[in-house]
Amino acid sequence: MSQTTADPSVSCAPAAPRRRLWRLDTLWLSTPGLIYLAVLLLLPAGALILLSFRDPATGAFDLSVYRNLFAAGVYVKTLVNTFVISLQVTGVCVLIGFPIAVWLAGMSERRRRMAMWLVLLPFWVSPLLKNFAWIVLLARKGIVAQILNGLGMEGGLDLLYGRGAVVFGMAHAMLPIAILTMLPTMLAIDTRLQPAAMTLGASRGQAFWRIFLPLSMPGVTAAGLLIFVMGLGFFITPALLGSPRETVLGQTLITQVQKLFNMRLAGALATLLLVVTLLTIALYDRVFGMSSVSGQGAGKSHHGRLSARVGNALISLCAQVTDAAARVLPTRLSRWSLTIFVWIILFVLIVPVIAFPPMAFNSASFLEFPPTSFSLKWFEAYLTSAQWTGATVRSAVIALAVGALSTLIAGVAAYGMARSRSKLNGLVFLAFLLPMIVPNIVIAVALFYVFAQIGLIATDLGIALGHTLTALPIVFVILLTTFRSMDWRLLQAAATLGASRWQQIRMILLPLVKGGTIAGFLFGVLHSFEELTIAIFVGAGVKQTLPKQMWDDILLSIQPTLAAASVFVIFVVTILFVIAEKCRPR
Amino acid sequence: MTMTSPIFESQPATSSTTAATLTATTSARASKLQVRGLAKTYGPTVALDHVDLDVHDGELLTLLGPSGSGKTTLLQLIAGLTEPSAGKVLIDGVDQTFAPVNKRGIGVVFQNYALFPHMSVSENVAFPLKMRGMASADIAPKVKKVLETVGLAHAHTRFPTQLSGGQQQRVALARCLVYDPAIILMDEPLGALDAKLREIMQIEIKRIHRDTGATIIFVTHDQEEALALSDRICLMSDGKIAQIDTPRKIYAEPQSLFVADFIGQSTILKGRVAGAYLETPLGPMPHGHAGLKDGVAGALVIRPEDMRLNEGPYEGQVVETVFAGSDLRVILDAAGCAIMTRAPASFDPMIGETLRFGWAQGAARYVPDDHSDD
Repeated sequence: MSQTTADPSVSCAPAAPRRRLWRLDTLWLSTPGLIYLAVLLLLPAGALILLSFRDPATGAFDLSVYRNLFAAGVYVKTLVNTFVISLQVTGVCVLIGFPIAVWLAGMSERRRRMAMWLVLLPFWVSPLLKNFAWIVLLARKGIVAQILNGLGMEGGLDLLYGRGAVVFGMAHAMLPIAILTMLPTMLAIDTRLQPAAMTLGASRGQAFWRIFLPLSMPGVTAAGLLIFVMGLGFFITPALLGSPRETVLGQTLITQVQKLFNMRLAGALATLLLVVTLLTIALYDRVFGMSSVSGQGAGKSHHGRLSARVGNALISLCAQVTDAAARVLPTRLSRWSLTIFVWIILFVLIVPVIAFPPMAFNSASFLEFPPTSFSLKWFEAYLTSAQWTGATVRSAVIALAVGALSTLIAGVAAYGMARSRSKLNGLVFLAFLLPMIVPNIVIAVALFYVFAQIGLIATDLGIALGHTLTALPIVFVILLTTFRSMDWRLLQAAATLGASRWQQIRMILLPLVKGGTIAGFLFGVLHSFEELTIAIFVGAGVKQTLPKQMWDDILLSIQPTLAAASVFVIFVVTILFVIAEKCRPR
Repeated sequence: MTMTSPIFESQPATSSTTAATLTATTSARASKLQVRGLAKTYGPTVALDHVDLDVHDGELLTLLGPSGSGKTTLLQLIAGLTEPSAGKVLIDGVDQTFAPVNKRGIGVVFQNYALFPHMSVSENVAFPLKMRGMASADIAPKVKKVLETVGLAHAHTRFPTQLSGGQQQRVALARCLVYDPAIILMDEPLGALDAKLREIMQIEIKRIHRDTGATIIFVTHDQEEALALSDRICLMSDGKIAQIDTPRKIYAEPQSLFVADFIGQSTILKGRVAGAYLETPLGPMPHGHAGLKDGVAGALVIRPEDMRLNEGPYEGQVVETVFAGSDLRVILDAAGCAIMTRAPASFDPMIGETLRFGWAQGAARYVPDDHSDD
């Protein structure tokens, strides 16, 4: 009987006076957000794609850009680079992220919350900062090279500027995402299943490979998809840690737009990137089913026959290997080795965060680690430079505006969706995730193209509008979780106790969703505060945000002021992130 | 459970009581709540099918029925949490069908209590008084008193998550009682409690009902709970009222096969009318009704306490025995019918053993078979 609670989506036959005859489903509240997405995402992307297919002189359909693109070996090579690097990063992230997720999943709730900070903090530190730290740490005379030399390894000298550094840097930047995507699926696995398998005669290894692994696959494949798709649009690491041989599509896009002003070619490259992304998602959906991304219907197997057979063969092979190993080695050893492995990785994840302060407080006129002396002069330089403080203030103001706007748009939509029973819910949900699926660089170039025509280029407003777009997915998901965990009958209860509509909202709804809303706002702020791609294109070198200022300085000349700025950013991020995490409902 | 409540006032009400006959026979008691032709449809689904119901002032009425029978829908329409597709709700004779929830002055105890998680116990209980604009100096003593009534005075600073299920239940009750609503609706309030706690809370609710004189409408799917608590039971099925009666009458005089089957465990012998007899699998038996058409589907219902074992004209095989402490429930199979009997606890038949059975004259009650397929 409980399912016959008030259902606003159903209209009833007219019968009596003083009653609204028809009620709109609350999902309509997502329309402002959908309009925002249409105007700032679909429209610009569509315009950019259209541009690449049209002859600028006649307006006729024209493929010449694509013909030139594929004829010039350099673009094809860039395409291949982008694809292969992304694939390599995906492999590394999944293989290294999996044991860490397993380790986290196996903890008690309380200890896991503690350990999660070590994953979440690197997650919220921007790739720019993380990669920048590695430039210093992996430098020719940097600390890692010194340690390797001390260990007698010769190869320790050329750690930077190669494929290895790029894959390492990108994997390092995206590993937290992989872990965070895999973990929920693993936590949803019934912990009694493995003991059950063992009572049925499976060894510890068998139980892991045959029960735990297959059940955790939806999370693993979702992580793989996410990393791969994000990797396609990634350009920071190849630019900072790679050589010209590792040039990827993102870099070419920047060159085409900013140096050569070739919007048509940029449009074609963006189109290609988008097509590859969508093809990947379609392929993924075909093999694994989209449900594993949203986390619904885990356990429903969509595996193709081939992948299932290969998977089964792999699983039994792994089980045999671990069984053989378990016969020789004591179990405790394998436990230990997992723990040691996990702590090494977690340490590597957090290194950039802890490496900046010593560098920033160093007095040397170049960045070095470990530091040799103590000084505040670089903070002084940072705080007295109009350029740096200007960028910082601009970033802060934009970030606050983005936090407010994205919370408003996403909050209204999330409330509507949480209370709706419309069949369109899934589609609207996917629409709000679009800015995460479409590569950031494509969004940035598309916005650049459209904003250039309406005078929003090189304006703070333009940057804020762009940041709000890309902040929407995370803010929306947080607020949707908040509103979904809300027990709406509490409002009914308050009504029966005499509370008016306004009193219900003020005394019941607001206090209960306050935490989630603050978290959504702060994560929106954080996103904008660290965003680089849109800042590069829409800011157009005129309106410098803090990340953009840092990016320029890293490319031009690395100065210790950068370390001071980084410390400031990490400080802000850590504070906001800790508050947001404390507020977030679970 | 044999906590059948003493009968307060047994009315000679018949099934699907029409308002007119009922108000006529109970003119001594005023109608607190009147429901007239109330209906609710969700698209093609009919949740409530034009129901008429009168609840007397100060009575405890249970809405009993299987899930999907419309009892929660009826409760929500009375509370004003849902708007009806048709019909009226009158409280003290005033049409309140579309009055906003917060203006009806009805108290609701929700299924899972719906306590406000961000407020302490006393804040939860004080909430309705605050909504009524009462001064905080007046609120405190009232809250204290009602918390004492439900035995939770010591826990007033705790938060709902720090309470056990039974304690949460008491807070929900206190929050409802504190503002003396004239009508209290309870939606399966004991559903989440374990058996022992349920019994304690049932007694508690009866006591509170007696002390406050409030009109209580109590939704449950548990027939034992309904029999134990109610002044009257309103048994619902498929969005309609199947029968309204006192617990004793609804048990002893079911008006239809559904009622007979839902309340208690009975032997049911289905068949068709042929003259003065019903053709059952055990042979033709007198149905004792005049004016039944030949070929009409009906059934004879025999309560297990009326069934005699080891004597009588019929034979059946033991298919199951259930030890119930004070007695032994023996289920026989006779010509495909399940025969429910009770025997002394010392009795110990073997499965498959053939036993004789029968019943006292007049113990078999004829009911129309409302779910027959013809």
